[in-house]
Amino acid sequence: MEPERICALVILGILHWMLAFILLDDMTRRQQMRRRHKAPWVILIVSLVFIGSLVYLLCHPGFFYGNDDDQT
Amino acid sequence: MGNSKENRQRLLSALTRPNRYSLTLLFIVWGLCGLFYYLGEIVYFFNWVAVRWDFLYSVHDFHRALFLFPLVYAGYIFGVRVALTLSILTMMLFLPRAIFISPYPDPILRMLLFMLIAGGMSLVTAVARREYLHRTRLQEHLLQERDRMLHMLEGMDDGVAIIGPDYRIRYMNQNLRKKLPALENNLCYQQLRGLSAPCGENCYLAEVLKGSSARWEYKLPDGSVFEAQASPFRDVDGVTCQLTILRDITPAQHPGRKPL
Repeated sequence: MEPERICALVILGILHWMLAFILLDDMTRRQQMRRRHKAPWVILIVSLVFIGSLVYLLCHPGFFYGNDDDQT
Repeated sequence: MGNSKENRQRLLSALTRPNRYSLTLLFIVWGLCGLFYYLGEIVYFFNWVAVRWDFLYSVHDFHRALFLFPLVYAGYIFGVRVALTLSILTMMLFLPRAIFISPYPDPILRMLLFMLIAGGMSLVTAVARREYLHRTRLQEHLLQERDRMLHMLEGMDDGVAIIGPDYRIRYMNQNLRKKLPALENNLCYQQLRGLSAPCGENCYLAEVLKGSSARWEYKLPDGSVFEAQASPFRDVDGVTCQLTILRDITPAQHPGRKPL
């Protein structure tokens, strides 16, 4: 594999884990979310690069308002 | 006509605050930018020959530049965390093209440079907006406190005056305005005593501004006598002033009272 592609994949990995960290941190702060509901989200965010995080953001708009309320 | 202007203002106001409308707009714009970024590949995949324009397969620097709108908007409306998250998502969206599709030189480097600028702009916008909102809130709080204090002073039986270090009367309460023919923003010695220079021995402004309190008797040319009590006061603009409480002790009004 070309070094440029390896470099891009490393960048992708770093970005993925940065995003996962931000979203998992958001999830741990959510008191309204039940514990058994958190596990599937953790698996989704960690295993599905980009798509998992995007789906989490679409399903939890409270992330954008900096609160726990997703009904806003 | 007026109604449509009102509606436009209401819409603009809704879109400049974090709510479901601004969030929907953000997702739509970001999604459209993403679609446009990969439109060439979509056209190629579905074999839409009629729209296979060269522009869709050229260097994607302009296509990338469109992402500046949602990134800066996200920073402005939703703050630092969302700006950072959207910047990461955008970068992840760019990577497949940089790794697998782009035939042009240095696709990753160009993408990284763009993201450095766009992400930086988004974050700077978010920080600047947060600071602005914080300052506005503090100013509102300060003005509310000032109004509350002035309301209290207006209700006092004694006269209250705030005099600045330049001898100008910054504030007089209702009772004092009734008793003394002075106007705010005028020099205290001119207005109260008809002098052309500060009162001299009878003026404690310099001492009070240094932090000490003072108490003295204040005789006006018309014969009325006031018991003055002064202490330092920091006005809303941060300037140390003299807060003076004046009690009318004119002998005609208080025959049994001894002077200070």
